[in-house]
Amino acid sequence: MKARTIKGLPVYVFLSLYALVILVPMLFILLASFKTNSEIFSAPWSLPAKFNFFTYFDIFINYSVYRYFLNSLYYSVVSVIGIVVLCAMGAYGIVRLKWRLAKATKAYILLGLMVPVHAMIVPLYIMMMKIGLQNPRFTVILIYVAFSLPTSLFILTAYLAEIPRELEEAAVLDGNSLFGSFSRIVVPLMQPALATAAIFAFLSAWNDFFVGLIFINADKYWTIQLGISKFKGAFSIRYSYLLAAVVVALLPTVIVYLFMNRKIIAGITAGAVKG
Amino acid sequence: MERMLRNKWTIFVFMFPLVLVFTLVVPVPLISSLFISLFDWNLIGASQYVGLRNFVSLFTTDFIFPQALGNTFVYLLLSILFQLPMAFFLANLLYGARGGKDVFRVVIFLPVACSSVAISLMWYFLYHPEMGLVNQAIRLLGFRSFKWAWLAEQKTAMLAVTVSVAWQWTGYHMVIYLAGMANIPGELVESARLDGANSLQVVRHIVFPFLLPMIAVSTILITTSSLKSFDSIYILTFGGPNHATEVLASHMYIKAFAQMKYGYGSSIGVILFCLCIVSTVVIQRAAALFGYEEVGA
Repeated sequence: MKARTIKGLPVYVFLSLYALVILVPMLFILLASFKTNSEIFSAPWSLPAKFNFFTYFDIFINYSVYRYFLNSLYYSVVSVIGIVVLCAMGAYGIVRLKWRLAKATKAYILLGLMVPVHAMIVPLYIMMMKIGLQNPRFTVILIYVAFSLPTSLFILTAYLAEIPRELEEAAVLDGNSLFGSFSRIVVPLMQPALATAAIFAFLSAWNDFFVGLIFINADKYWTIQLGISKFKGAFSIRYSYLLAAVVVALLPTVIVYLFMNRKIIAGITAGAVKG
Repeated sequence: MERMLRNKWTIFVFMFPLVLVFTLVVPVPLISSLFISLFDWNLIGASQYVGLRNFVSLFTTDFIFPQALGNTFVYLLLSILFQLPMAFFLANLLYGARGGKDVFRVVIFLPVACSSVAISLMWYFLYHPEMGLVNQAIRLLGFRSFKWAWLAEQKTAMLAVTVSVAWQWTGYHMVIYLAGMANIPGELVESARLDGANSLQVVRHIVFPFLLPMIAVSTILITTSSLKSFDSIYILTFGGPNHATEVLASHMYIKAFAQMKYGYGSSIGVILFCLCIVSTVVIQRAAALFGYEEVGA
C-alpha cells in the first residue's frame, strides 16, 4: 500500500481548478484566433460563429510566417543534430576512454550550466561583427549548440555510465574497431538518452528569443519567436492575427510535448535529483 | 581493448569538437566580457581603456541602473512567492492523490515546454483592458464596469509580469518536488500515520525535511532565471511604464545594443554573472545549514 498524505475530494477539486487556470487561457486564445475582432469582444466565451481559417492562411503567406517557421525549424533541427553528434562522442570519450583529464573536462563543460548567456553576449556579438559573418544562420546555430552542450552532456554521461561494457568488449573481440563498437553498439544503446537530449535541445532552440534578437537583423532569417514578437506592434488592433501567430509558434512545442512529456519530465527529474 | 581506449588520437577525435565549440562560445567570451567591461567601446571609434569607470557610473550617473537592480530583486521575490509555495502545495496534492496523477502533472507542466515569447503575447492579450480574460473574469464576479490596464499602470506592471511568469513556471518546480518525493520511504509515512500524525504533521516533519535539497535546487534555478529574465519583460512592458519593470537584462540590452555602449553593457553582464554565482553559493550554504538543523531537531 502506498503512503497517502492528503486525500479526498477537495484535492481533486483544487487540482481541477488549477488545471483549468492553465487550460482555459490557452483554449481562449485558440478560439479567439478563429474569430473576428468584434466577435472576440462581443462573445468572448463562445465558440466562433464560423471558424475563420483565412487568418492562418494570411499570416502564413502574406506575413511571411511560413518563412519564420521554416527558419526556426532549420535552426532547431541542425542544432539538435550538432548536439547529438558532439555529445554522443563526448560522453563516450569521457565515460569510456581512459585519460587523466576526463573528469576535469566534464566538470569544465558542466560549469556552463551556471553561466547566463547575457554575460557573454557582447563579446560574442563583437566577435561575429569582426569576422564579418553576414549570414547569421551559422552564428545562431553555433550558440544554440554550445548552450545546450552542458545539459546534454550531463544526461548522456549519466546514462552511459550505467550501461555495462561487456557488449562493447565483445564487439572489439569480434574484430570491430573502437569506432565500429561506438557506432554499432554504444550509439544504439544510448538511444533513449539521446532522444531526451535531443528534445531538450529542440525546445531550447525553438523557444529561444534573446540570441535571435541580438544576432539576426534581416527579416528573412528571423526565427518564429522573433517574427511573432514583431507582430505585437503590427497587429495591435487585429487580435486574431496576433493570436494565430502565437498558436503557430506554440504548435510544434505542444505537439512534441504531448508525445514526449514522459521523457521531458523524466529528464528534468533526473537533472534535479543529481544536480 | 585497453590500448585502444588509451589511444591519444582516439581521445582527441572524440573530445576535440565538443571542447572546441564549448570553449569558443562560453569561456572565451566570458573572459573577454570582463576585459571589455573595462573599456569605452562602440565598435566604430577606437576603444578606450577606462578602468572600473563603467562600474562606477552604474551606481553614480546612471539613474536607471539602481532602479533596474531593485526591480530585478522585486521580480525575484515575487517569483519565489508566487511559484514555490504553490508548487510545493501542488506537489503534495499530487503525492497524495490516488488516480489521474499523470493527467494533472502533464497539464500543469505544459506551459513550461512553451516559448516565453508566445506565452507573454498570450498574457499581453489576457491583460487587455477591454477584451482581456483577466478583466472579463473580474467583471463576471460582479464588478460590472471594471477596467484596468494592468501592464500600463506603474503600480501593477511588475505584478502582472510576475503573475504571467508564475503561470508558466510553477509546474517546473512542482515536477522537481515530485522527483524528490519519489525518494521518501513509504514506510516512514505509514508508521507516522499509525502513530496518529495528521497530514499537516506528515508534511511538516517528513515531506519537508526530505525535500530540502530539492527546495534548494528550485530556489537556485528560480533565482538565476529571475536575475536574467528578459523575454517576458521585453514582450509585455519593454521595461515600462516609466522604467517600472526595467530589469538588469533589459537595461543591458538597451545600453549595449540600442545605444551601442558595448563596454558599458558588458559591465552590466558581468554584474549579472557575479550575482548568479554569488546567489547560487549562498543558497547552497544556507540549505546546508538549514538541513543540518532540521535533521538534528
